[in-house]
Amino acid sequence: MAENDTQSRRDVLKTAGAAGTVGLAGLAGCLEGGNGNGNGNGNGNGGDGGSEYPALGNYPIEGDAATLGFNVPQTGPYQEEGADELRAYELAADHLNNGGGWVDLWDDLSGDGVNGYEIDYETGDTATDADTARESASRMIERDNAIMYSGGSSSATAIAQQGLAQQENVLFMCCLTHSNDTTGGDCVRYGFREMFNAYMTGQALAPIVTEEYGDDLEFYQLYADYTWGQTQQASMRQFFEEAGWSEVDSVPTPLGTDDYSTFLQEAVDSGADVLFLNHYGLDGSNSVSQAVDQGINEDMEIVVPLYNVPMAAGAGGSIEGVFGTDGWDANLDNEPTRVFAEAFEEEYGSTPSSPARLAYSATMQYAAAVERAGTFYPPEVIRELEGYEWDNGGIGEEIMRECDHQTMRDILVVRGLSEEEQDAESGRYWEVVEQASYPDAVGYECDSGPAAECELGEYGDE
Amino acid sequence: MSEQTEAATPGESADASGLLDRWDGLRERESFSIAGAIAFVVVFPMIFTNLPAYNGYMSLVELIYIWAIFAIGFDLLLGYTGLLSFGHAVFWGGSAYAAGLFSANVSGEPLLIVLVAMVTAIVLALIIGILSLRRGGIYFAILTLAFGQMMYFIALGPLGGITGGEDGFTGVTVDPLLGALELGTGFAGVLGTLLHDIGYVLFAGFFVLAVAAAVRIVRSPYGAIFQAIAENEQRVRFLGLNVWRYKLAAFVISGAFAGVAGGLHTIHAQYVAVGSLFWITSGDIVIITVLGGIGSIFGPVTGTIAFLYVENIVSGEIAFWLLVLGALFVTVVWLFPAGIWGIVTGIRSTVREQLLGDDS
Repeated sequence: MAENDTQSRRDVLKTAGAAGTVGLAGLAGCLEGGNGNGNGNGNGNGGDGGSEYPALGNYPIEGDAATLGFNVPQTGPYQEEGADELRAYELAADHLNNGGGWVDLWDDLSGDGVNGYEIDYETGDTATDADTARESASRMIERDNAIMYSGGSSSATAIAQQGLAQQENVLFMCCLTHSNDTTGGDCVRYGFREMFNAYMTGQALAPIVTEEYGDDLEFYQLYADYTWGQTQQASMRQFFEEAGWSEVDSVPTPLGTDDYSTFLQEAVDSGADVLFLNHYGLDGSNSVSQAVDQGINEDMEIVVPLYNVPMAAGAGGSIEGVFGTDGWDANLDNEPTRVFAEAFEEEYGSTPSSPARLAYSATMQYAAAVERAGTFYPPEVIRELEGYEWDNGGIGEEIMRECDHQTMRDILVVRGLSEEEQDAESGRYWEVVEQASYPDAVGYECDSGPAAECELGEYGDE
Repeated sequence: MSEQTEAATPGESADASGLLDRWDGLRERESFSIAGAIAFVVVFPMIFTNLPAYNGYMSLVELIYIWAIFAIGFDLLLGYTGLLSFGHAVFWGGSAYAAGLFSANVSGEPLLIVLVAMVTAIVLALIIGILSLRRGGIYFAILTLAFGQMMYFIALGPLGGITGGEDGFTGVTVDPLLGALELGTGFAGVLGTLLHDIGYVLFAGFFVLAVAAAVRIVRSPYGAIFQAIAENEQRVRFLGLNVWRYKLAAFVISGAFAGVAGGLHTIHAQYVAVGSLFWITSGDIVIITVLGGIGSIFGPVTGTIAFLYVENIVSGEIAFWLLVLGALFVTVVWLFPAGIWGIVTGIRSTVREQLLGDDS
């Protein structure tokens, strides 16, 4: 046994030595240049005109289908929003291949694929978790060779995903993300956002709400204690104090709170005139319902800065008279809205929510930019998107700003309807008080607001 | 089993049992486990990324190594020492943040980042260990959970300015390894097929190191005391040993593994999510370890592969992937308490009995 032992140890050493030599030789002589992350090295054989540009990210596309990645929350607190987004993404892919919807409306799009490629897609589940979202996106990029991916619902997942987009040189189109940071301190060259942000919500709400309720009022804020809630309440304070109101107090509530009664009681006891509930999703419908159950709406006016349809549906009649903002409404009277809402209803039998429109629009914007650029080469597509102006997205004139990739656009200021006036069938939970327009009512310069902190990074072809 | 081999008749069967003996001798050596780990990192990606359907991809392979390091460390505590910590996210997330902050403000050298991450985790483990190990069993689990959640809320709220709060920490910058080797640089030729790129060598290298370190610990007299504590704490105390000190040592070692893994994850993701400190991360590592099989080195590795495969590959195809994961977990725990690795070792000993049985 002992003999065997030494024998084999010697053998092991011998092999180890040999392997070591080979390894060193390899290190010395076999290091390639390239930034290869496993795919996309070696250009030229990617369909028509593929050799025009060098390989970058997942360009050129191999085969005759371009893959898009749709990364939405299918589990977790935002799964309702995610499910609606996914429906819209799938509808968009169908329209791009077969015509219909906005494809028939937009001159850039043909309805016969994009730039000669058929559109294929992969889906993923972000689970409303930043790490999971990032991993899911990296599967789409690495394994499925996605040329663009899109998704969101929660700013943390969007920020994590667009960071990856910049690293891998694959475009990310943001969907639902309302935090200032997405196109502020955390902005990237490879990410674009059509959704407005907390800063713009404050701008849109302040003039209308102060006009409705009067000057020199006192307000009290509750906010969800995480980054979005913090920036949201800060924006509200900034714009309402500028408008002449004064803040009594601003109190954080833990994310996912079930029972707001003590917080709400303190708000009433403060003697303030208006209560801002900076909560979103399930938290939002809970806090506003409980406020109404406690009869707070008799003593104070309530404002829920960021609304959406699932939230309003959850809160029901409690939102009567409550002001808030949303990005789009299926009942708006314009052609793109009608076309999209009808196509969506025909396919799924339900009215699309504003996150669904964001998802649909993100896909269409990307496809149109590829058609205009005449290539999928990411830096060229980015340059097409930057500074692009359009008015066929159902919410008036919009511009995708070059300096921070934030879309400057109109915002809907809405006011909740009473239970009797609400109509779940057609998604009517509120009336649109005003379409706060850019640049008169909302928007900010490239050197102010969140944009002041934004540095976009490289195109990848410098 | 040794009696059986001794009783075997001379001739062919003696050869067979002789071979088995030598095989056993080989297997018992530490170098065998290490060689196994090296062979694994060479072969695994070839199979994993080339499955005919539902195939994996390289960065998932790297992620598996990172989580496997975390799981191996966790098993040293749960499987070998018998302590269930429900707050290991502190070490994973805490070290990930330390690594991120270090890379953004001091140096982006990967090895230094990992070192800083490990030291952070060790310090955290010392503090939390000293406070939590005053109690055993369920109380210990709850205390670690409480400390974990405390760290999570601190990172989310008061320290939000530094950690990025809910948005996560985005300022991670990773420099080339040793100042010259860009992590994305691929190898050419045979080396390219076997080792892919510098980044892969880094992650796989740390994985092999972790296996080697764990095997060394488990086989050492010190590790034997860990196992003795798991079996009967009182007897160890009667032997005159300071049980509390050994438990603390196990906790800190386990934290150090989590720290290395957390640091590597920061390098891999170039982003730190606040969810890395959340209790669900602590739960994940418990599930991974139990799923794979506690009390072995390769069990947690198997658990990691199964868990991450369902989380990242199956989730893309089946919306109810959490249900798949749950069903898998329940099935394994119910039918094979020793975990997936237990199934492997079970088959191995059956085959072996069959072989010997046929011979005699």
